[in-house]
Amino acid sequence: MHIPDGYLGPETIAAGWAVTVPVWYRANRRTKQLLSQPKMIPVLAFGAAFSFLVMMLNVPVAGGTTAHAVGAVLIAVIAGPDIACLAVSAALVIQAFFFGDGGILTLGINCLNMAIVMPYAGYAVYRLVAGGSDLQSSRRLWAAGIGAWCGLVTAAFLNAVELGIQPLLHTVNGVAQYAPYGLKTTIPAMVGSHALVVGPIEAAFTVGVFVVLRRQSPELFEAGAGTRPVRRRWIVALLAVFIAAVPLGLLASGGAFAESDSGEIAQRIGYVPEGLARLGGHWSGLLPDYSWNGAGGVWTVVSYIVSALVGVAVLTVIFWLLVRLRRRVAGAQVATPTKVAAPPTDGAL
Amino acid sequence: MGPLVSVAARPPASAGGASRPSDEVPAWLLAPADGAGGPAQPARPRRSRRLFGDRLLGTLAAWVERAVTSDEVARRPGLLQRLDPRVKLVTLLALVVIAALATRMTVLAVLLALALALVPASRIGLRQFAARAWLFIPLFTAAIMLPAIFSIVTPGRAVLTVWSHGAPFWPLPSTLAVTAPGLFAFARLVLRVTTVVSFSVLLTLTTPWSDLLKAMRAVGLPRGFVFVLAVAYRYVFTLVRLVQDMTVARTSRLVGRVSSREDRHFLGGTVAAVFGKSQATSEQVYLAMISRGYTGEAHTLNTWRLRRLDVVWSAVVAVALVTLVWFELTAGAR
Repeated sequence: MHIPDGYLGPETIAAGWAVTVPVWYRANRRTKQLLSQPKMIPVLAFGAAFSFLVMMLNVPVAGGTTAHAVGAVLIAVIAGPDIACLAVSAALVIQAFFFGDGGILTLGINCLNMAIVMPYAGYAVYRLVAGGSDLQSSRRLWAAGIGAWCGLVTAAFLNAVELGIQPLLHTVNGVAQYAPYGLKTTIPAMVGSHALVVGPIEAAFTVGVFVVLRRQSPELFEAGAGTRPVRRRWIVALLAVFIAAVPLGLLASGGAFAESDSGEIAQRIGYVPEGLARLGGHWSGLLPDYSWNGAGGVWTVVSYIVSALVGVAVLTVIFWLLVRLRRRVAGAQVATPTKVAAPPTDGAL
Repeated sequence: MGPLVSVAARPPASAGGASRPSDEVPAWLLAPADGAGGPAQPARPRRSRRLFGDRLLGTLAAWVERAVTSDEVARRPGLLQRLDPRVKLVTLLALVVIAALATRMTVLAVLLALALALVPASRIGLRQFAARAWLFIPLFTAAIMLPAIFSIVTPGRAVLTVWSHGAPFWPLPSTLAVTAPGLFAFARLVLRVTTVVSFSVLLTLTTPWSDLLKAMRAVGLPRGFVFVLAVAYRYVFTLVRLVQDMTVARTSRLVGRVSSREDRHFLGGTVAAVFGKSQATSEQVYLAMISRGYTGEAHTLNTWRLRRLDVVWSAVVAVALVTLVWFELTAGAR
C-alpha cells in the first residue's frame, strides 16, 4: 500500500502533508497528556520498532503464499489510536529513509493512509462492535477482527482515490503526467484485493495476536482503555467528509459496478437482456439516478450531496429502529427490569 | 542519544578500522541453507515447500544484511560519503523533489544521468546499487503501469494495433492498440520513479543512520521525534533477534508437515510475546535513561564543519537545479 514517489502530483502531496502534520501534532499532545512526558519516548520507540517488525513479518496463507500485515489497528486496540498513529508513522519514516520503501515526498500521504486513517477508523469500528463487552468475550475478538478489516479497507479505498484522481488533475494533451489509472480502475482493484485477500489476513493476524495478549497480559489493555473514546462529533465529521466526497463519483466517468442502466449495458454487451429491459422501466428508485431530472453542472453536485444526506438519514432511522426493536425484545425476555450497567465509556461509542 | 546511536551505527562484525574485507558479511553466512553452493543435500521429497519458519528467518536475515551492507557502504571514502550529512540531506532531497515533480523527459533523463554518475563516484558497485534501487520499485511500477500503454487506458494515435474487429464482444473492446500517448506516459512514469528511487537510495546507502538522524535534527525536525526514531531503529535489531531465536527454537524441533493454520498460531504467539517484551524493555530502558541522568532533553555531539567540498557540491547542485527548473518551465511544447 506504500505509494512511491513519482506517482502523485504536487497538489496531492501537499494535501497529504497538510492533513498529516496537524494530526501528528494532536496525537502528540494527547499522548503527552496520557503518559508522563519523558517516558513517552521509549514507549513510542518500542511501538515504532514493533510496528516496523510487524510490517516485515509475512503471514502464512493457505497454499504456501504469504502476505504482510500493517498492524496499525492491532496497536490501536492495545495502546490507543494516538500511540498507534505516532508509532506507525515513525516506522514508515524509518522505512522511507532507510530502505527507500515508499517515497520520501509521499510520506505524508502514506502516513495519512496507514498511520492515521487505518488506526483511527479501525479503532472506531472496534469500539463500536465491542461496546461494553468483557475483554475476554468472543465479541471482543469479532470487534478486533472487523476493526482490522475495516481499517485496512478504508485505507485501501483512500489510497485508490489518491491514485485515481491523478489522471483527472494532471492530463496534458491526453497524456497522464503521473499515475495514469482513473478511479474506475483503482477503486475496484485496490478495494477488491484488500477486501477479499489482504483484509482477512490482517484480521486473522490481529485476532491471533489479540487472543494471546489478552490471555497472557490483560493489564496491557488498560492503556488503550484510558484514552478518550471516539466522540460522536468525530463520526459526524467523518460522515461529512464522505458525503462531501460523494460527487467524486461524477468524475469517475463510467457507471459503478452493477449500477449501469440498460443503455450502458447495451453498449457494452451489444444487447439488453430481456428481463432487465422489462424491470428497468418499473424500478427507477426514489431519487432516480441520485439526481433530479434536468439538473446539471453545479446542481448535479448539490443533488448528489442531498441524495447522500437523505441516504444517511434513512439508514440512521433504520438502524435506530432496529436497535429500539432489539432492546424491546431483550427487555421482554429478561424478566427482571434491572438496567444493564452502562459501559465505562458512556456518551460515546 | 549518543551511546544508543553509536551502537546502532556499528556493524556486528566490526573490529575497528576502515573498510576492510572483514567488515563485510561473509558470503557463506548469507547463503540460503538449501543453496546449491552448500554441501550435498539429501534428495528432497516431492511437493515439499520451504517451511514457514525458514522463510521467516530468510526475511529477517535479508533485512539485517541490508542494514549491515548499508553501514559498510556508508564508510567507504566516496564523494557522497565525504559530504557533510546536512548538506547531503538537503541537496539530495532537493533533487528528489525536482525529479518527483518534473514532467519533461529531458529533465528526468539528465537527473537520472546525474544519479548514475554519483554511483561510481561514491564507490558503490553498479550491481549492488541496481539490486538495491531498481529491483523492486521500478520493476513493480513497470509491471503495474504496462496496461496504460494500451488504448483502453490511454486513447490516442495507434502505434501498433493488437486486434480490431467490428462488433464489440463485451468485455473486450472492439479495438486494442498500443498508443503513442500511452507509451509516452508509461516511459515518463517509469523514468521518474527510477530517478527518484535512485536518489533516495544514494542518500540512505551513503549515510550512516546516526548521521542521517543528526542531519534531520540539524535541519529542524523536532528533537523528540528524531530521538524516537533513533531508539526505535536501535531496538528493531533487538526485536528481530528475539523473533529469530523463537523461530529457530521452534523450527529445530519440528518434524513432518505443518499446516499454515499452525504457522499462523505460532506467528500470533510470537508477535504477542514480542509485544509484551517490547513493553517490558521500554520500561527498563526508561529507568536506565533516568538513572543515567536523562531529563527529557537529548544532547548529541556535533562536530560537523562545512568544508570546501560541501560548498562546491552545493553550488553545483544549485546551478543544476535552477537550470533544470528553468528548462522545465520555459522550453517549448513537451
